Amino acid sequence: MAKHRFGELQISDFRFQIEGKRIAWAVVLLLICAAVIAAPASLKIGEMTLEGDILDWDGQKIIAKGHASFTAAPSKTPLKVGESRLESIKAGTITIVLTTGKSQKLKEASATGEVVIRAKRADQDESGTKTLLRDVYATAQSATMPQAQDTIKLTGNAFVKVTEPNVAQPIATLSGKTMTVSLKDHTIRVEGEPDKQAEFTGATKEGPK
Amino acid sequence: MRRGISGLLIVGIAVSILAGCGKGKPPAAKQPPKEEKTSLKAEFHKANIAWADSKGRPLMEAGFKEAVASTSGENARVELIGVKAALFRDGKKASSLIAERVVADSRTKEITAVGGVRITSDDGSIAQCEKVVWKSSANKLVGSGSVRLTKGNITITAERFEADTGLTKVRFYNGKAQVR
Repeated sequence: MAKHRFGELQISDFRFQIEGKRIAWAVVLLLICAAVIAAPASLKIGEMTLEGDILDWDGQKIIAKGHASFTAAPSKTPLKVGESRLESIKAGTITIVLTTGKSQKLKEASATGEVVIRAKRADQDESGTKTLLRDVYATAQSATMPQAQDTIKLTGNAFVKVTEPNVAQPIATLSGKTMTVSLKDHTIRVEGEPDKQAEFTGATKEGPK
Repeated sequence: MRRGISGLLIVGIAVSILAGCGKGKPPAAKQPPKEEKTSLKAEFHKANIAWADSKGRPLMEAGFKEAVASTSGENARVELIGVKAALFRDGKKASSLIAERVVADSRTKEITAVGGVRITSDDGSIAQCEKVVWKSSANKLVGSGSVRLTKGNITITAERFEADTGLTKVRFYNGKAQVR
């Protein structure tokens, strides 16, 4: 396990050396990207459900307040390598903005208040022969996902953890004050605070959970 | 001939009831209060009524299969069965309403629709529920019982809702929205 602390962490390399073993940074970064929502090409969101104690609807925007949850309907189509699928968002308030027209699609989404995001991503294993389905778990005080900007921003105690089936340790964790994920150039910017620096933890596989 | 006379009677009662709803408080009686009792009751089949506000702008136009109108003291009540109605806001049609039964009450100044209620807005939103109370002066619809709103590929279910007459803004309680 390797731990790194940074005032501001900018990750754009695709391979990183930790404890003599290489971690496929492309995989890690894409997993983190996939953790949130709405990558135009790689993140799949089909049917979705939004619930809350109160739902305010005006024809194009739905705001769920109180025990809000956003759930993507299970898909029978298996994920291909490189694809991600959002599973759920839970938060105090979740807002989704839809496109206009008869068949409305998700245009942008945001969540505030104890945000918890879960997603899955398909990647090839190190041998390149098997497809791994990894779990991405992210928390923050708020998350904004404007599709047009190809960025995802987690704000307030942002934390991302990537786990793999049958592996005891998370394969990566990131934490900081804010995290900005660029879906276009596959970079992630993590900002810490003066008294609480951004942190990255990478782990090698240590056997079954 | 007798049917025609009773028809005119019920239309007269219905119009006066609904006009009373739109004009606010009924005129104060100068005489000592009388004991409340049904003073008039009439029935009618297949007709239309229109309800206007104090400025003469339409509030509701309804067609129905049957109607029963009654007055009790200073209050008047009309019950319509098998109703198809247009609801207006600021003199313009905002939505359509279908219900098994609609009751207009001059005392509460509300229209209550019960049974298989279906409201269709001009932009194509359809709200269905068991009961809707329409407070026209407040531009407010309050629906309850198996609430379901659909528009295009969006379906929202809830325990109850509050909306404006045209269903342009709707608040759902314990709601679930599905985007397909």
